[in-house]
Amino acid sequence: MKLLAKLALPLVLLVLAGCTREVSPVSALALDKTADGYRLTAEIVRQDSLDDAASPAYLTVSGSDMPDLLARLGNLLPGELYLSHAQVLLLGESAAEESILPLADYLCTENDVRLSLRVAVVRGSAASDLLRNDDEVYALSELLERAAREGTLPDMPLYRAAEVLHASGTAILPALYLDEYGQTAPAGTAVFAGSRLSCFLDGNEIGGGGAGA
Amino acid sequence: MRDRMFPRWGAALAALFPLSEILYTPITGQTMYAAALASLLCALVCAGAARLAPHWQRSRILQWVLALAALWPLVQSLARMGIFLRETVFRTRPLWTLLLLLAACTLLTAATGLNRCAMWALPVAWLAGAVIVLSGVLTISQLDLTYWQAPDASLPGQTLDILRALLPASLIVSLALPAGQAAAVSRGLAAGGALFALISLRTALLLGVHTAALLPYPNFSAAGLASVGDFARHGEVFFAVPLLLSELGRCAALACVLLLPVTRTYGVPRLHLRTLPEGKQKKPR
Repeated sequence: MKLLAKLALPLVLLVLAGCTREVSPVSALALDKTADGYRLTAEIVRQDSLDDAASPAYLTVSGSDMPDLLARLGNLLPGELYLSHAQVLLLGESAAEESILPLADYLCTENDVRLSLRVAVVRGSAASDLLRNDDEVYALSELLERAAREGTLPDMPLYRAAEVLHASGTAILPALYLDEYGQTAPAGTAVFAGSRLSCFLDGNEIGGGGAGA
Repeated sequence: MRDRMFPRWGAALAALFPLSEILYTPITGQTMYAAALASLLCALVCAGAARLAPHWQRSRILQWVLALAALWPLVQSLARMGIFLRETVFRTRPLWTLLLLLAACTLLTAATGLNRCAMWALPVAWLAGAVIVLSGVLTISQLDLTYWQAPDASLPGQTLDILRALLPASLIVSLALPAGQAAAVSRGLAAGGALFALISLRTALLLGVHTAALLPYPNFSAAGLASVGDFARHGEVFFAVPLLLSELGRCAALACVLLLPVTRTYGVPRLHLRTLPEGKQKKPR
């Protein structure tokens, strides 16, 4: 009887065992608005080089909303879409001009997405261009984190952005742009009113180019 | 094993009940007050129940009533644990396999008897307490005091919600405890309730009530923001494990009560003694 009891647990544990698909970790996402919906670009972490160094690969999908985009992205990937390592979501100006509240809500409820995900608005260029600009994984998140620590950009992770958007519809998010040397640089603060991009704090209007423009 | 339950074991077993609620309770600005109030009321009621326990256990019919009453909170606990595991970790596994695993763990633990369940509750309760405190400390710099809310009219409603989840299981186990555990039960429930209230406050001040309302498991998600630099970024895993162990302890205690009418004093199967040949039975100590 005792032996049976001791054998029961390992046998039951077997039901949890089995092969799982390889995961494809996403380190950053960029969302742009297009004429017929949205375009999502994902930075996938690749570790298949000989020196075992992580390098980015980019995949782009088009769709009508975030759930649709993520589903299409999942279908493209060889492994399981793994969003737990995603640290940055870049929004193009045109995407940010729509209400970002449904997007924030969706990302908060999506199990895989971390609440510490940093959202930033890209000025003067498509978000996907800025994402592809760096060939180093996690460079953007390090830049945003450092700037938030130094106080040069707002410290506004996803959970805090969702909270203020729900409370008053007003939020500030960090803005980034590609400077004249083609480098990613802080571009001040994007102001959201009624959950939509309203203006930038340096007084430049939406679509008016980068901070340096 | 000697059939004696030390008061600190009884206190630890009682502490598991409020700790088990942490993962599933929705967070509002009133949850901290509601958790404290519900745990306090529960401690008072269960201390009284633990005093009545020896009288209650003399009646065979009342033992059966208690056993049948234990079935509902036990099933409820297993179901919510299974759903939590499926939604957070084992997304590709069918729910029934998780329920089967949890039921097997519960029955195997319960088969050792209520006394041993209480003994194992002591390290589990300490571990859960330490992890909750650590998680709170690691997020203290991110708390926003402007999210704090004073008690309002929704407090009684939320207190009742927590009491509905907490009281039945604690009351049933309190009525099945050996004599002399009343003070331990009230101490354990109060200590577990204090941790429950504190971690609810942490989540409300960290996420804000609007973000917390979006999340199916707000305390669990908030724990994910506790990290030590790049190390241990998935703080929610370290947070959930002791709380799931607490809930398994709660399930095992309820299963012991369920088995009480067909077992010896503290849930050790009576059938063992009956099947042993004459003269080989253990003498009662």
